Amino acid sequence: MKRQQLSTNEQNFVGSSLISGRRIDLRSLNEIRDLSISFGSKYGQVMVKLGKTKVISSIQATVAQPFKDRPQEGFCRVRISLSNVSTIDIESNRKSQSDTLEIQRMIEDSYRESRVVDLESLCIIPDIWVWEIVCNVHVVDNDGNISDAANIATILSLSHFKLPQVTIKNGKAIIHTDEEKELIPLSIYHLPISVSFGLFEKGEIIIVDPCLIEEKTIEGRIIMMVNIHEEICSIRKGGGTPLTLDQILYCTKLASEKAKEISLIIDRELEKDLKLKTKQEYDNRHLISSILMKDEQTIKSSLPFPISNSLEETILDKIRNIQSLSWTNKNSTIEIEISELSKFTNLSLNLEQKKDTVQVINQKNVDKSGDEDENENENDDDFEANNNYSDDEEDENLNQRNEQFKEFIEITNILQNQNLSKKELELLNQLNSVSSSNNKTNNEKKESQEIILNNQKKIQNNEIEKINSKKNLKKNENHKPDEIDFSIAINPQFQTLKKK
Amino acid sequence: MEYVNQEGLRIDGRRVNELRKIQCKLGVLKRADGSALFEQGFTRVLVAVYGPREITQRRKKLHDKAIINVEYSVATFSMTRRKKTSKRNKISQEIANSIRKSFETVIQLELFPSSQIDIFIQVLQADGGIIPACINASTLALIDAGVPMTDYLCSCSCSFIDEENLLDLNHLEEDSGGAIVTVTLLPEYNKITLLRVYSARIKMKNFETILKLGQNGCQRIADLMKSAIKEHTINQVNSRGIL
Repeated sequence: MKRQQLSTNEQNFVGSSLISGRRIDLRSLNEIRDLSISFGSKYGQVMVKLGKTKVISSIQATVAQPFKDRPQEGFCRVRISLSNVSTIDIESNRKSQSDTLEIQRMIEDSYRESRVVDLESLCIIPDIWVWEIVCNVHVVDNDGNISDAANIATILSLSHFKLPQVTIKNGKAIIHTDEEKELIPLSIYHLPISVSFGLFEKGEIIIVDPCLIEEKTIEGRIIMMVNIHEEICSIRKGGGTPLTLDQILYCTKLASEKAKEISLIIDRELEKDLKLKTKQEYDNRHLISSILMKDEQTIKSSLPFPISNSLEETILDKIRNIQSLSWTNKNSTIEIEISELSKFTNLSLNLEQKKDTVQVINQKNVDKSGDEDENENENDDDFEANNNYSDDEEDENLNQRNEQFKEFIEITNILQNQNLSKKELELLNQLNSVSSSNNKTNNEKKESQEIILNNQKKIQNNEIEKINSKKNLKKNENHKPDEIDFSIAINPQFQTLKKK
Repeated sequence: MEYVNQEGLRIDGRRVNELRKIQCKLGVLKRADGSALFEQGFTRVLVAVYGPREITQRRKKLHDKAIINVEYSVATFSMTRRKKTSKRNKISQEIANSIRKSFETVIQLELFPSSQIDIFIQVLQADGGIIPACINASTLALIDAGVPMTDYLCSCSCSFIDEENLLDLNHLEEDSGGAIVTVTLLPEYNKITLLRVYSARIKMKNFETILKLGQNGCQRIADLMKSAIKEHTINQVNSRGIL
């Protein structure tokens, strides 16, 4: 199939209107199309619309071996792919992709050569492991000027993306999940912004950001990548009408102006979305931790807003995700839940001896609770009750919280009872001891168990039976007195054991 | 590493704005319509031109113009380390495309509808400034083949290293980490067709001076090429016993 060419009538129309100083979409010669940016749910997912040109990009981070002659440098690669989805002109075989090849190579090379991302910060263990960050850009709709749109998408992806933290212990690198430690953004030196020009009438007419019809009529193209510090990162002029020196310098000035405009828009949108994301994460964690403590009916009643069926499903999905996570990353979730736990437990539960350790945990929660009060959506009564209880209501709240605590422990038991090491079993026993010390009969305990079991029947039927039998055995053992040794949770020795 | 020492001399003893030694030989291959062997310092490029001739790839046929087919290949023994790069390599294809586009502006393609002009480039020795050398050699070969062109195409590379603008880089200077600017000029009109800035960032205020230096270098190469072509035609005329 031959490339689609514009009819001569269309070409003449575009040409003559350009000579009279007008463009077919009523822009001025130096105007860029409307730029709209939207981010995806994960860090690094971006969709950029430049007029009708639509580009999607996302980032993959994997661990790889570095080059032998550069043992401390990671990799940052950009891959741009066009397909027939975007335009009919692209054929599937390689030979016809000559025009797009130029754009691909330009963006890939210029990002690496002008050192956008600090490659040495991507090093995990020199000469063994480094991060390899690949930004995949897909052009969804081609209405001209793919290079600019793709470039904006890669910049946004790279500045939006966050890497998981890595700690090195005993020569092993441990990559922490999102829930253990905060993600860190990439270290980026500068943001190159590409501005492409179309040349017409032997270089006398220069238009910025040509759309597809204009691209097919112009006689030449020049693509400039400039950053806001007035530095030229790269220029590509591949043939086309020849230009004089003055015309090229005029283009560079225009390019720097446009780069400043675009970078303003980019910064604004980035800030907005990053704020949104951190707020969402925070809200999610609280929602999830509160959900873990309760059964279905109380969940529905305690949510601050009426929920639809779809929301219900999403919440249940989240519970299942956490629980499935806990199957795989069993060891890591213990730590989180204990720290969240302390919020719901009575602080005076024989912890005066261990004030120092508890204070560390509580500080985190205090900070969170401070933010929480500012949120208008958080109308959850139970939350407020737990944070601001008075001394008179202590006893009542104690019972409530002990119930919740007990349920929680039983959930953790069910989820984490398999293949635990000795020390972990000890901890769980200690936690269990708290529940057993409460003044409740065995019947009530069984009831609370049943509630939890009903919730989880959808998930793990057979395994629950096994776990129940194990639990009965454990209850018969001799329990230690009421002491929760939170120091174990923070003890670094214990941490290493868990994370194996 | 010092690329320009205190006395203003570079690694190979040149001044900041001096070109390397250029040697042109035309008519090197007997079977080809036109051929040229171009040496710029230690960089050697051999180009063969076949055409204008009947089109072989029917799909690319244009009813009103000729098409240009450029193939760029680097010999495995051309670099310091033995490296086999195929012609279908992305980098080779990109270079071939950019050379093709720049010649499309200069060759009078409308005179040969439904035909093709083949330019086969072979890099024999690579010591910096490969693409400029390829373009210079291609113009010589095209002139030797008698293909009608509106103007020469002359090209050279320049850079900004050690706070000096250097002209005509060699291999070590290219790998230094400074920005490289390759300029391709039409000497009669003094206009730039192919412009590539890569390998590092340049401040905009320095850009003008670097470009002007590149333009000057291209003009000087154009003069050298013209004199080489004159010599060659005189030799040919003499050898046929006309004069």
